[in-house]
Amino acid sequence: MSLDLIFGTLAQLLTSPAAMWMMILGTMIGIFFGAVPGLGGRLAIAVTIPFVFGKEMIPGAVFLLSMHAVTGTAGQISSIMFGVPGTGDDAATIVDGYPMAQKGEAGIALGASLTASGIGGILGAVVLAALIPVIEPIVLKFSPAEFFFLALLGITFVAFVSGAAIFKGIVVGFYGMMLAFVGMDPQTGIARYSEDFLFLWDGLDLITAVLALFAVPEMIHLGVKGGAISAFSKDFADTGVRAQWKGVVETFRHMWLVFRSSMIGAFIGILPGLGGSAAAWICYGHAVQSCKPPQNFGRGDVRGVIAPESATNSKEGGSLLPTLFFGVPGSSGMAILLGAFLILGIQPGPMMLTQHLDLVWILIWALVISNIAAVVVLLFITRWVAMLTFLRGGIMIPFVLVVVVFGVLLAKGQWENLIMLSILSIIGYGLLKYDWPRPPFAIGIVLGTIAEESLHKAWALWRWDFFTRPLSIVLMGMIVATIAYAIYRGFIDNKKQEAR
Amino acid sequence: MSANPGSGERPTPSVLKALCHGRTLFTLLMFAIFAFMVWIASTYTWPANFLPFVIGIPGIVLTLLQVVLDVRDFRKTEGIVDPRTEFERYMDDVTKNTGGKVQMELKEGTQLQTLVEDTTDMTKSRNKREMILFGYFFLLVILVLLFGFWIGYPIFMALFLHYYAKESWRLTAQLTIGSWVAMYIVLVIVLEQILFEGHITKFVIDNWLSD
Repeated sequence: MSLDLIFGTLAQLLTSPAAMWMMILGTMIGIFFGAVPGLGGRLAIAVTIPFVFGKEMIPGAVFLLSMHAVTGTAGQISSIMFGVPGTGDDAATIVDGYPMAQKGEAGIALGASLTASGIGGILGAVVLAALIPVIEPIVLKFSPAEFFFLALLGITFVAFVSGAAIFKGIVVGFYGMMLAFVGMDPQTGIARYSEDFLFLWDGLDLITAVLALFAVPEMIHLGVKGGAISAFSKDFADTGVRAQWKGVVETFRHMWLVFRSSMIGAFIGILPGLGGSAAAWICYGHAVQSCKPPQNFGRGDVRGVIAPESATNSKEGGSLLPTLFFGVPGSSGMAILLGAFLILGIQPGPMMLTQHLDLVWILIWALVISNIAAVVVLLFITRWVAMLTFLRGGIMIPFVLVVVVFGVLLAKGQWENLIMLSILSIIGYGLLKYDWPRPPFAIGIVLGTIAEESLHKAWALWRWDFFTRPLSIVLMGMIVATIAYAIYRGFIDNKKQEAR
Repeated sequence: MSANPGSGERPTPSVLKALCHGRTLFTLLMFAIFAFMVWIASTYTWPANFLPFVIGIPGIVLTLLQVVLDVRDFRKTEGIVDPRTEFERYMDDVTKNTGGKVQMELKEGTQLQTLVEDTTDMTKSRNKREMILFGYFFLLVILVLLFGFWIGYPIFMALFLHYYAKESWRLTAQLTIGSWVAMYIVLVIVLEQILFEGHITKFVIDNWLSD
């Protein structure tokens, strides 16, 4: 890996008007989606994928990644000022952020959280960059057989850690995979599950499926839940740039905590499925354990804001690692991002190292620059962004639904996909309502095609021997161990519940 | 209904009632999807049917297992209401995640807005709202299919904003017209996107308005 490549890609990004424009646009849209409670990064990507359909690879990927990277940074504003988490990842920030706002220290809390978040994002990108040489020999050892098992392991892992029953998670992942099999089979030319419906012969439109499973259910849920936030004073005293600057200084005073939390967050990001909420709580817990005196936490201690915010943003860099090099997304947001990358023609796996390392570096730089841009912009416009928290669901819902319908029409121009959208949305809402984890679906539908391709290649190369390859055995063992542990844990939890 | 000796006065719901509950019905729907897809796959030749079998058959087994778990959980927990509010549950999460070391201190009388919603006795109104919202969504799809995006979407937007969101006609008109004009300028004039024109609109244009 040469310095030419590292800094050449930075220069390429900075001197490309298209990429820079898309990065700025992505950052602004990301701030919007992050700041409005109930929207979030996953929805942002789902809704905007159709707009990058057919675009060039680099500007499209930079747009999506920048947007995804900054939603967390903007999401903390409502957590701190009103105790309303933008996404689940911000729940830990409330514990100290909201009491700080109540004490008149909202500006300090915001300045600290924005800076910690920005530094966390940059450190996450650094971890990703530093691990490329480490991961390279491992990735290059993987053959099609291992990529098939990796797809199954990805679903199992995400199902395991998504909180609900593991069977539900695996079923949803398998459901996504089954939908990925719709269309012309590349081996036999049989039109699977598509009969005479020509629009299905190319496969079920990924954009339609993602919007149906993630965007429409979220909007219905937002409408059912209500969620208008109006009981707060809209007087944003103590949030000026000067007050926030004190928070920036506080973050640099606790740089060692920022560094530790960012490292923990980045490594949590590498593990598929653990997600931002886990990263935030683990780092909050770490801050409580390691900082003195612990009694201050919960009463408005700035360290309680810094630790979770560093972690949630650094996780993004970490989770790009399995996403780009193994095709196993670290989170549902990354799974949708991976789907978008595939649409843009970016194929995850060893080729990212052998042929597209420049793209990897551009993405790393995009993470760094968009994080810096988001922090700088937010430090000046926080009070206006905070107003987005009051945007009523009743007004947001029709706009998002219209964008969803528009996106479906834009993607392939086939009206039949609107009918697929309606049918799949009902299932998507059922999954949300009855606590079926949806992240494995995104992984299943994105990886289904890759898994099938890998399986056929592996079968052609090794026949039954592909099950007995050492790495295949290790991966199969990991799948079985994950399921066995989940069942054991479920059994123990049940026993505890009964005892209570 | 039989009485459950372990649960005091609470009678255990019947298996039939558990099977008819929405949660179990949804699992049965997932089972039906897998069963149907595997059945269809059985009509394909190898290797087109290979992965649908490898994924679909375990899917059937797991959904059936989930049905059993749903029924068991329903019979165990039906009628038992978690007395904690959302806020208390959140505080329990804080305790769990920090090993009980953190007590959150808020001003007296403050509640965390989105964390206080008590959902226990809202089921009926929730179901109604779900139906209405899905109704609006399907209306949008139907309007777009019949009249095309540029005619269907403002009709939907106006109806939703005024009748569902209870906005005034003035704001409704401002938002609808404003968004329509903005989208039209960006998408049609700048980006030159051509969207589906709708079956009825197309029929009218083809038969009555074209030369």
